[in-house]
Amino acid sequence: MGTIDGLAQGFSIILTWQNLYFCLIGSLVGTLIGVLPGIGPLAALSLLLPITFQMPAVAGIAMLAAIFYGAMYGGSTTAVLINIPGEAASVVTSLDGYRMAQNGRAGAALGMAALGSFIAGTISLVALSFFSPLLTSVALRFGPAENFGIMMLGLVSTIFMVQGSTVKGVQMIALGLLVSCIGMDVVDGQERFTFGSVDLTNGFDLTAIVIGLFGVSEILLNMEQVATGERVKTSIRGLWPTVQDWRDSWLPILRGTGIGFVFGVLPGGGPVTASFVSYAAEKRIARQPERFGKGAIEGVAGPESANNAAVAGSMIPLLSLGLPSNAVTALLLGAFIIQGVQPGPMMMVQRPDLFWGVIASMYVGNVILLVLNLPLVGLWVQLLRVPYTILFPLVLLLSVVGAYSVNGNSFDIWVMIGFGVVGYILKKNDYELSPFVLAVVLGPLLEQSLRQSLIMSPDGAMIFARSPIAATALGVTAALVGMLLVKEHNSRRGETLT
Amino acid sequence: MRRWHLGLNTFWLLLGLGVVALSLRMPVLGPSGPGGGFLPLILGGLLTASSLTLLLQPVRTVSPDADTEWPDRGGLRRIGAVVAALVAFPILMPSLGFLLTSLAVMLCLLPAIARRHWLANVALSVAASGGIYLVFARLLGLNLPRGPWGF
Repeated sequence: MGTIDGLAQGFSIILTWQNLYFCLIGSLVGTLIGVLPGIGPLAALSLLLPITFQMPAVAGIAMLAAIFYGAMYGGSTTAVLINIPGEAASVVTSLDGYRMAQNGRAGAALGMAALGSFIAGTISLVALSFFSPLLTSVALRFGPAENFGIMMLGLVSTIFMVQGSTVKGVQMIALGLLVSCIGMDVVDGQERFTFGSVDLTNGFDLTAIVIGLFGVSEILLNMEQVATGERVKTSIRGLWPTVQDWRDSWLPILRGTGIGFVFGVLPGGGPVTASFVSYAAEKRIARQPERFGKGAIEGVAGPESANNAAVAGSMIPLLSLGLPSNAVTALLLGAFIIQGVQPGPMMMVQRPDLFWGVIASMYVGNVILLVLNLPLVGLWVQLLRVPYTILFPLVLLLSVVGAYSVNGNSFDIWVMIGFGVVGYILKKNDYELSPFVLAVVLGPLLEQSLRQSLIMSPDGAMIFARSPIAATALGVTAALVGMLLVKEHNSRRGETLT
Repeated sequence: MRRWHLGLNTFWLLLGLGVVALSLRMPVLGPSGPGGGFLPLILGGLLTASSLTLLLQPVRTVSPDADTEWPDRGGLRRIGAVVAALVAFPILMPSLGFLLTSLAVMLCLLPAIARRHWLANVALSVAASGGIYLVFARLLGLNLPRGPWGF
């Protein structure tokens, strides 16, 4: 099936009242959690995952995807108006967006953020629609050796993309993979690390782990200080940017789209990295870089476009290869599996309705967000006045419901509490949690590919050298490890000298 | 941070060594290829080696910034209260059901978190637990545990 036919099928599926309704709900919830600091897309996705069990696969996944890109739209609102990014991918938006608001140009900043996001989202969706089937046709020829190489590259790239210590990143990946080893062995069915517990036979549940790490630990962090609601004093006028704003912004939007798309596709990349790279690029290219940080509209247009383009980009490895490139798409992979669908090259052949339905839903979601977002800015701002002490009981109860209802089992609540406390301690000690989540999700696939490759190989590890794709991926992985070690060594030397 | 750095890495080190010891009891390399202990053995070794690297690095490079900022006594009390509230769920829910447990937990937890009029806390507890129950158990049909009175 060609891309145009596929998209036509996708739109015919998504343009029903039921699917549009769930797409709308996802967009609204996404914007809401993007606006509210203290709850990110990962926590929201994991909390709402159980709702999708009862829904048809297309509606469920379309809603979860809408939460992901909706959060990118919503995050900019608080970044611009009160200098508090609603989520990590809008951190750089606050640098110039908030200064614009202080200069009385909040409307233009919000308008450009929304329009840039829409343009970037749409362009990168077109790229996704054409690029994904191509990659799928290549991926159909992948065997276990190729899969292993690409997954190793994905895991190591996560350490490369995140801030902080390389060794801590390695520890997180090792721990994540070890957690995925608990329970029944994927190859020969033998129980591992279960210590005779029946509850551990199937290992720890991914949803309970993620709700603990990103939902409960966030509640605990927010409990350190009980803040009251923020008062927004900025008045918002004129959401449509001026001709001069467009003149300044159209190139940053296009560059942001390109950067975002590439960083979305790259393993370990995602909206957060994309927005930072776009800001750095705009500042470097600018004729007057000193304007940045003082209210330059390019500093809003570029990163906001980049984080939306990255969402579409990161759907490519998920839909075509079945490999998530960041923690949010890892959770989406979990959602597909719970629906009984294994994303990957076979999905386009076996479930074209789901493949094209999800892509079409993202086109529709982008339009919904543009139409809803700008007129509703005032409403979102009002929500910021709700103190966290009123919101957290809902988040806490949602966490319990989310963890319990996956398997209808109280044991998963214990798992959630355990990972919540561990997540809190790790965050306080500067550990990054996304490599851990990615490792937990990829663990079973990685082990299966590694062992299958070695079992079918007559000469051991040479199977990886014989496949050009596996050899290239593992070669790049080795180069990245080398670069990381040099970086770690240099930074330690620097610290010792100072 | 230094104390926590040492504590965490000692824990990872012991965990890594434990994993290595347990993996060696499983089939690691058999005639038909690697067994169930193969990957855990590598991972246990990696965890041990990485923890040793961090433990053995000069102490002054451990913490370039100030110590980890832990919350004050009030913050720790609130965190403790939230964890205790969460622990109450798996213990009470099988016998009391979701609705009663969440109502009881919220009634005890909210006064410990923020100072409000007691009526406001009761109203918030009823609204939060009732609202979540209504949406998830009634509207969405999720199978939440029921208490002795059928809800």
